[in-house]
Amino acid sequence: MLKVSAVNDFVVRFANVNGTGSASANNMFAKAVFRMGIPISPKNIFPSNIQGLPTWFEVRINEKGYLGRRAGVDLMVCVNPESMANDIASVKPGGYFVYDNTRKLHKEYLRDDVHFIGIPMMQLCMDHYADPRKQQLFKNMVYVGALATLLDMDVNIIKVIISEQFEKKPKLISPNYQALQLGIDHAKENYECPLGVRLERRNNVGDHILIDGNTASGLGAIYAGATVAAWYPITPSTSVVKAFEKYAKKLRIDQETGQKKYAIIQAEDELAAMGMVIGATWNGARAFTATSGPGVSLMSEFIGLAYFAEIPVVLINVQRGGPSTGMPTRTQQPDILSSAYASHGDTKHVLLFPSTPAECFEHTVAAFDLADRLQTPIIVMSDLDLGMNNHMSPPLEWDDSKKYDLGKVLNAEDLENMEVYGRYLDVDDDGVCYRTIPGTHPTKGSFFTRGTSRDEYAQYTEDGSVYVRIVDRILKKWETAKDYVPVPVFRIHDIPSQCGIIFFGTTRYAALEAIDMLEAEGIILDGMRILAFPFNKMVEEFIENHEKIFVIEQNRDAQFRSLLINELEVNPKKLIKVLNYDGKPITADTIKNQIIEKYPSSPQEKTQTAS
Amino acid sequence: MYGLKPDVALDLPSKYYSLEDYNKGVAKWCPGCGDHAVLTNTQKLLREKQMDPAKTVFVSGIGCSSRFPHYMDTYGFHGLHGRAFPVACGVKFRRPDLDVFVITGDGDCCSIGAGAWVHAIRYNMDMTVMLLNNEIYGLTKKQVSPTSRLGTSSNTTPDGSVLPPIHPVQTTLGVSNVSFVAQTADWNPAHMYATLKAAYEHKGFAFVHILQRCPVFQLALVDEWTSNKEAMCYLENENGITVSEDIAKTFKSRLSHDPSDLSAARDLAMEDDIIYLGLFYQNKNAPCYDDYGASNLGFTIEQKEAVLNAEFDKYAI
Repeated sequence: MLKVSAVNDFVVRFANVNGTGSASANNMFAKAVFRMGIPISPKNIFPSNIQGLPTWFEVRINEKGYLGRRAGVDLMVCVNPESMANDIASVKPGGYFVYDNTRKLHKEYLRDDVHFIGIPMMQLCMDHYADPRKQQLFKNMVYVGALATLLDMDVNIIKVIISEQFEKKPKLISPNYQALQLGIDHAKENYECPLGVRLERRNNVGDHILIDGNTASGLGAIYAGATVAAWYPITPSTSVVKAFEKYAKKLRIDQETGQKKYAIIQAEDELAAMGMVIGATWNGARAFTATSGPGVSLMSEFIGLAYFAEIPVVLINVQRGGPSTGMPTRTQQPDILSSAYASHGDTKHVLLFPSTPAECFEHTVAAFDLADRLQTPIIVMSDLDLGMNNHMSPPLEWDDSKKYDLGKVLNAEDLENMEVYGRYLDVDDDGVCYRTIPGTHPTKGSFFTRGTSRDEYAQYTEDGSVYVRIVDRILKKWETAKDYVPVPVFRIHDIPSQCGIIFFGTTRYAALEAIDMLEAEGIILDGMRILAFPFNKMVEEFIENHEKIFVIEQNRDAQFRSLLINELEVNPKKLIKVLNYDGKPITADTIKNQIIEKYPSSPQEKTQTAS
Repeated sequence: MYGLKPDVALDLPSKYYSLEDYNKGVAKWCPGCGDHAVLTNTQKLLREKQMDPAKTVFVSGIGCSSRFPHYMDTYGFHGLHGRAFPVACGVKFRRPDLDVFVITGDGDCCSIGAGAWVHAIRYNMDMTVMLLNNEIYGLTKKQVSPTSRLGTSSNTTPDGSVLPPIHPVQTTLGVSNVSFVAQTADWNPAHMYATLKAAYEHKGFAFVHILQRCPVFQLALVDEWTSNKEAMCYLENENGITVSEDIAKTFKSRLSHDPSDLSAARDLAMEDDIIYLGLFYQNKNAPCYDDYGASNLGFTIEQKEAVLNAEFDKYAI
């Protein structure tokens, strides 16, 4: 029989039932591989439900460091009878299927091109533990033990992880060791170990850490000096504020009084959350909210107010499958346009596109400075895959000498020494005006803020020429923003190429792998990863310098491509859609196949005919 | 009106609906969740009333309890978070012949949906509303809800919540044009059934507040509710919600309360220590907004044509 053989390059998938404690065992497995020095990319695939539905955990192991999702399962660990039929069907020919053989497999499930490895997980637990809850929980550790033998893992590493995990409940350490050993022994006695797929120690993870994007964003808000978070629970953004709270409790308590130096408000809905953020930032606080697509829809009216009244706002948008309630526990990049142009009227907003947890941290910090410098909403465009899954990430870095840039804020002395002050006077000719924090001066400064049309001195006006002057000045600020936002990252090939590839956010992992795969097949692509909207000159030049450009994104309507066409007046024929929107993170194979299919025989000619 | 035949008397029921006819799939709530009991009782009510599944609509918002319509083999509308009421009102406004049920949770109704809730009470459209209140956000994994009692520890209030909760019965009784407010508990199926039945039979916005267990995130509350029998008081009255004497005897305390007395109902709702199960208030004469919405239904094509022609004639030269 065909046998998948691979060292440090395969996909393991776990099929569990949610609410059974499998998540912690699965994470221990992933962490153990990582600590063997092998890059991993773990992903949770879970339902919008609390208990009793199928859930999967997938770990791509790849010593070369390709971290995108890869389709196809080499080794399946299935402890969920409900999903078993499909789980068996999803194993690659020659792959392995580890299951609980306390009960016999249905004959019709069997495949003759898959290696079945039965471990009597439930039986072993029933023999060794009396308490039903323990039987359930330790079953998970039994399969981790079996995997350790089957894949030739370093058992000591797993033991260290167990002891760390239960540091505060030391009584649980030895029963977990015991369960682990049950799995190890059973696999050793009954199967030829290791399997065709196996692990070998490497030193390929360097100083990288495993962290999820939401935790990094929450920590970023702390480092950026945020003191107010107002939000409403919504998957997959909930853990951003949870992380903010966790770190605020450690880092934002007044040493002398024990008082909190932060405020977290769970508002009655997203609409109110954004209103509270605006109220706080208008008063000089660094405040933010975190939400997902439906929340952005509700916040849109307030985002328009912040844009027009010119109030700094930071919003972390952890995108999920839309539209409407859509797929709350699946990933997509579907809010590009609704975020870029959120609200009625002529509005556009600065977007940042992090691709790693380290960038979630950096971009969240940057968002607060940008919001203050530009006096406008800044939206950090994360997604479920980045926010809720652990990623191998460079360590988060912080420069202690960094000073916050609070932008143009006048103090009492400034106001005293000024002859004329107008809240919306463009003194510096960059579109950004001077604001004052309420309470700065007893009589001077900006006392009144409005969402209605006003002149340079914040007086209401319906005078058409004044209105045009004001909205054109806000547009000038948009030009200024181009110099402030992070610049793209390029991957220009030594061999000149007329074709390019544009990607952003979490498509990065798969795109970089696809570029290498395509190069092996003779297709050379120059890459550009865009980190921000508005698009600056470098983005424009890259597009000008290439005849055909593939735009990789995870939504149906190629929204990022539309944004490029709309903002840069690019010939639409030049930008080719490469899309994936099934709710699963895009794979390098998907990108490669779509590019090969759409790759022009002669890039130059085709564009000319098209235009 | 839609579907009415000229001689209604000849329209004999052609089918007897059993419980299975109202059930769809297997409910995916956690074991021990109070939602299961509400589902079963609702299906029993539909059976007793022999409601036609094709003329029955369940509208919900978002949250654990809002999955409810998935498990009813009737018409269902699983819409937006906090917006079950507007959708249900739209349905009722145009289709007064349908039986409309709204299923909502404490977050869905009292937090994000509070605005719509207040107005739906005032509109007083003929629908049965079940608020399944477990005092916590379940689906997003344990955040405080506006109905969580003071000091509730949750992922968003690790040191305990600091605001007194909204009491949905108090709030509903405070809104103009309120017409039916009752309270029941998921662990008392007989009382719940009687309550749902009374609510269904009421013409107008029948608001049923259901104390509901969440064994995963509110375990302590479940214990408190089910063990503290002293705190549960059975409201009885000839015009109230009546259960059999056997069930009534299980209550340690009973109180006679006239449900037409709004002021007395509000006083009861203000009490913190005692949980009254039964009918707080009923006004059968409150105006129903849907009576106005439906007034233009039932015209024949000829009648509509005559009205249109009369309008066109005004512009004739």
